[in-house]
Amino acid sequence: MHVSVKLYSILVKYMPDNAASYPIPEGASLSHLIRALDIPEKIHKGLVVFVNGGIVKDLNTKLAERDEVKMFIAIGGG
Amino acid sequence: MPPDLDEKIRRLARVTVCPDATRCPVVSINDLGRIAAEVGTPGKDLAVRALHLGIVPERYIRNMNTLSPADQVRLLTSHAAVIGLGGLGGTVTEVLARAGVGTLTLIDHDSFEEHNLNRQIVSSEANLGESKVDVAMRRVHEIDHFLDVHAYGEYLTADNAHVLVQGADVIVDCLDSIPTRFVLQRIAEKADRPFVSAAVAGMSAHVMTIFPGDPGLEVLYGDPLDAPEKGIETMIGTMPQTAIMTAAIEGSEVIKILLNKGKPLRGGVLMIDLQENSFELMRFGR
Repeated sequence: MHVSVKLYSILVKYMPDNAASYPIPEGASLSHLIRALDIPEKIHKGLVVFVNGGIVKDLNTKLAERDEVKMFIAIGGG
Repeated sequence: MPPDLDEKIRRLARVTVCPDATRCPVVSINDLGRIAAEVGTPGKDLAVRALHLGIVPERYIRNMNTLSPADQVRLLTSHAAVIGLGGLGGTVTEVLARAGVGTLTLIDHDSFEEHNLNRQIVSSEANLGESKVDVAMRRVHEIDHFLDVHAYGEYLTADNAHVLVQGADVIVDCLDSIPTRFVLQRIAEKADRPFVSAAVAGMSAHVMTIFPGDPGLEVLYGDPLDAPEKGIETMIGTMPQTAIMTAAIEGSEVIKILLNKGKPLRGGVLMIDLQENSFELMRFGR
């Protein structure tokens, strides 16, 4: 199946060329997608993930065909 | 206020051209300051009085037609607390002072250091080593000496926060510590006050406006008990344009909240990435 992926800020470098239609196995989870994009483990905790316009905290959430996934890292500077 | 005071203000009014090319009566800062000194009334009260008389203090003339004189009165009689006077807080303070928010509470325990100079608008080579609140208060009074400033050179904690922000109509989070942001959010919730929060790193930022009962910072940072002290800004720093633009958005949120006008950034997070020219309001609900 395919999902669309949009990454922001320092995650932009992990954006694949085929981000508009990124292939993942049927029933794959967010965490599978994050690993497939090569986003380093050490920053997984700070990820803020939206799927189809809603925030998703559980990275074990299963994705569905044509889901729209957006991710950024929460920042704290003032 | 005595009618002869109204008469004094009226006598000093002159007519100028408003932004919409209509002619409107204005009064200058110097004239209001002179009456204030003469009668022993705070200048801010005279500015409010003038606005009630339909005479706009000239310093606010370029606010007019976006704001009404009644809106300007509302700002002058409002109180905002800005916590953290770094890259965000300095510019938020500048925006609110210039807009004419009548009372500002400013809180920061720190002093200016060289590494602040790239983005902290009130820092300069001349004031390195000086307390940020002292410099910020001076800056506000250089802009508008009628405004009231409560300045606290203290570190905000769960113990002192409710006292320091007392009386504020809106609380503005410009902090650089994630756990302290949570402390402030709890205080805002308890005080039943809107809370405007922003954070910056490199060329990116996010801004949220949180009303009591709204989803809060947990959405971004997770469990407050497990929140890190800092985010990726420790790795990629903060560019001046990011800090100044994001602070301007925070200032705009505060002004909208105080005036009860426009749409605050509630129920979502405004994600900004200047590298990609991306401004996206992401809603929390599906």
